[in-house]
Amino acid sequence: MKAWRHQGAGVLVWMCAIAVVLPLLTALIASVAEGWAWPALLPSQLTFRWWASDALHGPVASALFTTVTVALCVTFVCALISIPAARALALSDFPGKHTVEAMLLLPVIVPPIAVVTGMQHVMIVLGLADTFFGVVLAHVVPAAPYMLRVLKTAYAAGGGRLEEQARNLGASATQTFLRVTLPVLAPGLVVGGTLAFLVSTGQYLLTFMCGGGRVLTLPLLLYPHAAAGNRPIAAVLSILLSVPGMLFILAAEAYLHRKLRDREVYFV
Amino acid sequence: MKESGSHRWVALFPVLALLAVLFGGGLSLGLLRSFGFQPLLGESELTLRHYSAVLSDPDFLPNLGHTLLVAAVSTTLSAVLGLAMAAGLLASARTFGALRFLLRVPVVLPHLVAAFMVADFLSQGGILARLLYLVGVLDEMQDFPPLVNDRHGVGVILVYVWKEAPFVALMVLGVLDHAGRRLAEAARTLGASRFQTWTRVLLPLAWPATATASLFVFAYDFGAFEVPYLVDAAHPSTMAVWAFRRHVDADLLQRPEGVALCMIIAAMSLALVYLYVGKTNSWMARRMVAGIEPRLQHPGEEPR
Amino acid sequence: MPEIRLAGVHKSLGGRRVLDGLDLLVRDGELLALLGPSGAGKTTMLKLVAGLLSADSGEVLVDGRSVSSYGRSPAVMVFQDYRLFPHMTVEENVAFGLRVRGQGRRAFDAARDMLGRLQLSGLEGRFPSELSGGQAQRVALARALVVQPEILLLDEPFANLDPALKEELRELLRGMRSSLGFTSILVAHDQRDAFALADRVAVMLSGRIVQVESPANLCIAPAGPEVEALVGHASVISAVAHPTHLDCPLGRWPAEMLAPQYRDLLARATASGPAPVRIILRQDSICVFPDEGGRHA
Repeated sequence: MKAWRHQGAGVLVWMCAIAVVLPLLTALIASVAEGWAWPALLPSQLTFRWWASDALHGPVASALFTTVTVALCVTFVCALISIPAARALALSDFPGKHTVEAMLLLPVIVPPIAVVTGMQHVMIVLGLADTFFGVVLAHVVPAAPYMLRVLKTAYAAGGGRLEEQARNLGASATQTFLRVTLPVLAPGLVVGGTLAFLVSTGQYLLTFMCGGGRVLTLPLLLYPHAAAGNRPIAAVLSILLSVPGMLFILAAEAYLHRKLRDREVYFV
Repeated sequence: MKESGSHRWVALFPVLALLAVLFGGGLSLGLLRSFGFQPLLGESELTLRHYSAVLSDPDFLPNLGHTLLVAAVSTTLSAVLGLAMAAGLLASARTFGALRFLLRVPVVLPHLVAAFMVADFLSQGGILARLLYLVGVLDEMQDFPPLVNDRHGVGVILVYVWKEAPFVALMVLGVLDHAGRRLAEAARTLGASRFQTWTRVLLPLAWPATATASLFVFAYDFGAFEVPYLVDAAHPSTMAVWAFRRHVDADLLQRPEGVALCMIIAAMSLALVYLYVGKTNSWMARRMVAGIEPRLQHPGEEPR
Repeated sequence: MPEIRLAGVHKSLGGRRVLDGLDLLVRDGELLALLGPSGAGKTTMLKLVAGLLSADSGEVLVDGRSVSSYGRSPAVMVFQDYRLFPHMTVEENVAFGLRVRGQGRRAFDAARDMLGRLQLSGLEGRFPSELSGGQAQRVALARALVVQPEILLLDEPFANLDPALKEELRELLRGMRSSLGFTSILVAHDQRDAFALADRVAVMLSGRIVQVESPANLCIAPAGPEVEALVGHASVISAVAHPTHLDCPLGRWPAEMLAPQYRDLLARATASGPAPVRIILRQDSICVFPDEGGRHA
């Protein structure tokens, strides 16, 4: 008597697995395909020339570099501003707290299209438009709420009590932060950081408007090729755009697995 | 924690400042502009004419309808499929560890990448069409319906579902995997059959997670730009793409209308979310899954 | 009432051998307490009887039939972590067992009645997240008892209760046993709970049963130092019992000194005049059992 299992369930799961995998597989094959015309299921010839020509020279390489560095800076800035804020939100109660929390959720709820033209204006005024740093800050806006939420949960789960204990044992504020808070927050930082990194690599509209064509990230390069139907090149760019995020996740999971062996942690 | 009041505001300042300036500023500027406040063009009186122009535009209702349809269908399909996937994973005899990992790929891939991959897969010359041709369902390429860039937004919906059903599944699994298993065991020892365990315990348990995930999905689908920009037809288009075209492609005179449209989109998203949250917050809070672990109780502790 | 038999049961979980050739017979209608250090496999054994796990080898029989042949669970289990359904009120939780058996009509009345017996009246409309630990534990017990099970499995059901409440629940359990006569296995951390309620006590060490005895005999003759460490050291002295007092080398002890269950025993044992008894002085309590060649009354 199996508690809640059923034979037929496996079929459904397999079908979903196939539906998820096929588009991915197709793109992978497309990136190394030489002339993959209808109605062939597999390309007649494999080639690396799409990769060789685009990936190693020219705008693609620099776009990849820009994308990754922007994302890393976004993660860093998010962490910097979110740690103290999460602490304040998790540990203290104050009048207006609910309003603040609601406001901090707005960037997730309000569609970017509504904000982006105004944001561009603000950046022009501040002299940040079309700059690398401006794009970073623009990406921080949608990314921060996620990291904030993760850190707040991490803090609420016991950070406050541990800090109290540390201070009670005689540690100074700095010592407490470095020796107790940061290590306890580390898994939360990894999870939140991964989210921030992913949010940043996926941005198109914000980069387009606030970067003004000067800051070129991979999504900006991908769009025209995808729209024009240049399958091999778009496939290459898609893979390039996905790889940093996947590497980040794999690293994060390896780290989390070591740290939290007994608990299953999926950051999503 | 006993801390002085100023401390916490200092802690909150960086985040609030950044969001206030960029997000709040951006939104406010948009709002002002939508009311006609463009001092650089010599217009400094607030007016509603841009809003009325947008609302009376013959494209407004079709586009709004299209957006709502796409969002609603995507959300529903994602919820149903996601729930089914999660239930399937829980109910199957094998562990499917690999698939659980695989489920996260659509979720973490950038939207543009997902859009390209799925759209290409579903295109008339795409792999799905070729598979059907191989099996004999199609005679030639043209027989495969143009799912991408079609008027009903089927391509957009399928891209969304490909990305969001796994998201819902993962959210539901988060609840079912841990709390669900334990509660199912309890239900079984109380005499429930497998069917009763699913209908009376597991599915009700999965429902709040599904609902919350669906809310995020709907809110995103409603206002999203990237995917429909790539995959959707020109007419009708989603609201976000329409707004973008009015702003970027149109001449200066039309721009305030584009911004007004953006404000309408924003207002609708906000209304949707707050309506949902307001209604369900207390409902859900009482039914938190927390009632499972025995808490370490201090003597004389009050119930939560 | 069914009897439970485990024979040569092996079970591994997560690569670890949890049950290692376990043999046990629980007679019908008896309450068997399971004692053992944490991690010895007690909960795993309960789950095997409930049909939630299947043994790697060996037999788990309830009423002569293998557990896996039952469509619905043959035993009702109360878990250590309560497992109250968070989306149902207290009332709905307690009524659950009856409703899934198709007895919906009397389910809520029976539920309310049982809640009253466990002093939980007034909490019917609350949700599990709104209960204290002790309340939640009692609701879990109510949920199991209301079904009038033939087999009851209790995994540390008294853990979160204060002594007064524990005593009341023990009384309730005793009462229900005498009126319903179910077979039960009780896992208790505190041997006092085990000894107070059990007909027999089984000691589990490293995945096997090393001794099954009446509580008295277990105190008197533990099978080895580990068992003794679990059970606690005891001294035995002989005495003569009278209806109102005990005469022993330590003096005359009035019957009021005894715990309630032993007073009943005393009354019955001395119904036809004074009787020889043995007094077991344990480290933390005093128990009295009649001296009838090792058989317990």
